[in-house]
Amino acid sequence: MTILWILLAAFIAACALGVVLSRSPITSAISLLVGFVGVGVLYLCLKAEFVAAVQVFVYAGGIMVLYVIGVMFTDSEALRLNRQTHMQAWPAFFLVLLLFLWMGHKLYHAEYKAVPSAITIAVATSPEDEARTKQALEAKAALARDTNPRQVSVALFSDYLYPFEAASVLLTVAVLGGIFLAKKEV
Amino acid sequence: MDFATIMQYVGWPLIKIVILLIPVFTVVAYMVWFERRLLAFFQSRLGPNRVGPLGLIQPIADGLKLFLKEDLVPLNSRPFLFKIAPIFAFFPAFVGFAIVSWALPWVTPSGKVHPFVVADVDLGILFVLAISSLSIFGIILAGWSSGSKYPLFGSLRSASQMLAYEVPLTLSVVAVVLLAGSFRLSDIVAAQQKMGWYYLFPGILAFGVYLVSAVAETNRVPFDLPEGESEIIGFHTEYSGMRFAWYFVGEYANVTLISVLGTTLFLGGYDIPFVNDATLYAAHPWLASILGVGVFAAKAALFAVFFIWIRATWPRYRYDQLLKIGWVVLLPIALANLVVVALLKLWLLR
Repeated sequence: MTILWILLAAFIAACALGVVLSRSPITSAISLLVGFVGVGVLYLCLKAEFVAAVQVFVYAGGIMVLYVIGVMFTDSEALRLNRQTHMQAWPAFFLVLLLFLWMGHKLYHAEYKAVPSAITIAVATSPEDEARTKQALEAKAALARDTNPRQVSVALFSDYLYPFEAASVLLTVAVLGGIFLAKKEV
Repeated sequence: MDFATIMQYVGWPLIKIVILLIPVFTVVAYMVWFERRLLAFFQSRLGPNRVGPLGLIQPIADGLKLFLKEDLVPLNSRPFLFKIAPIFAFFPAFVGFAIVSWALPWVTPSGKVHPFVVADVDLGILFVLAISSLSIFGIILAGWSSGSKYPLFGSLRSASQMLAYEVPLTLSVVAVVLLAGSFRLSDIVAAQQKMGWYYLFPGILAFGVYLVSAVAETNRVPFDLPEGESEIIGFHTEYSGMRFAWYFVGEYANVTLISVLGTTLFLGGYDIPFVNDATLYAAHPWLASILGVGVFAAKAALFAVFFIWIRATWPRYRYDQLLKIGWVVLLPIALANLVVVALLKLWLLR
């Protein structure tokens, strides 16, 4: 599993490098597309199937199409032969390095509290109480039967309903603003 | 890793994939023959009937011819993208078959359950939608990498058509998912069996939207502007030989997939009409499974014949009409239907 993860991470990193380093916008766009699919596979490995499908559906299938269409109309030889400036490369590199080290430090020293499963709690608190253990086992089995999309939707529409609705309003406002800016007076 | 683990995760899935792909490829190849013959009968002709009895060897002859043709790559093109673009067109259609549930599971005497599906994942229909949303790249990349103006225009036209009809198609599928309460195709069929009637009736509007967008998504008459076999210059103008044919293999695979999915979503899948499947399954599991596959195939064939029938009867839409139908007619209907179905689910079909 670790080997698989390293291969996948290297693949995604290579795609990301391709996006940044490539001179042709269309090559960048295609690297980004493949990278999106790679991230989808990563989600799949983490058993977040729903997020993986949405990643491919929305990013690779929706947003990338618009990107690619946009890129096709702006791709010109003159643009590609332009000398690229690298003035910001070093400051950016140090900033990103700093950010990376800080994140790594935080992640390394973070306390990972394993979420105790119902069965462990039940067994730990009352090893003799057979009825409770059985109940906990049943609860665990029910959790295992629960599907990934259902878990996501329960979380989205109960615990996080307010941020979810707020985000959708924000997106609607953004779309309306985009239309208002782009549309000519009729 | 021991042998049993390898078989469980690699061996059996591979065997299942091969068992599935052979009939799918055959169906796709013979659909071309069937369409040509049926179209000919609609137009008082005979169609291809020379190669083999009833012209049955025609698809093999066509395939052989296309494989032997020269594979031209235009000088002005981007060779790599030009060569991989057809893969994007046909692979999503074939991957989609993996999650289709073909019959009730087969239980061995020792009690092991073998579902008639390659991968019965929770995501089900969402997986198909996600994968098939990638097929648009086959068209865009083909048009752009050809290095020629007409394919570029053709691919943009096709891309906006596919974007326009993907939205109502997805919304009509969402209506069914709402009714069934699951993405998984076997659950959707089970929910229809439990309810006693097919989703064709509570979801009649969704069914209509699904049919129209399915025809448009597969680029068929009356929405065949991307191809326009003889007169409109489309995204595949520069393609020849087998690379050209992959686009058509993809199209017919898509028609098959969309018929199969439509059958599952709206016509009850492998449910045998007028028969209580549960009792039959309890008495003769083998008979129920085989009959189920047969009924499934018959229902899907109805869909396919309907597609060909439309092609024989309808003229092509103009481009502005096509986009108008997608965004102005189908999208509001699909959205309103979603609200209606949600209310139905809330009050009547709990």
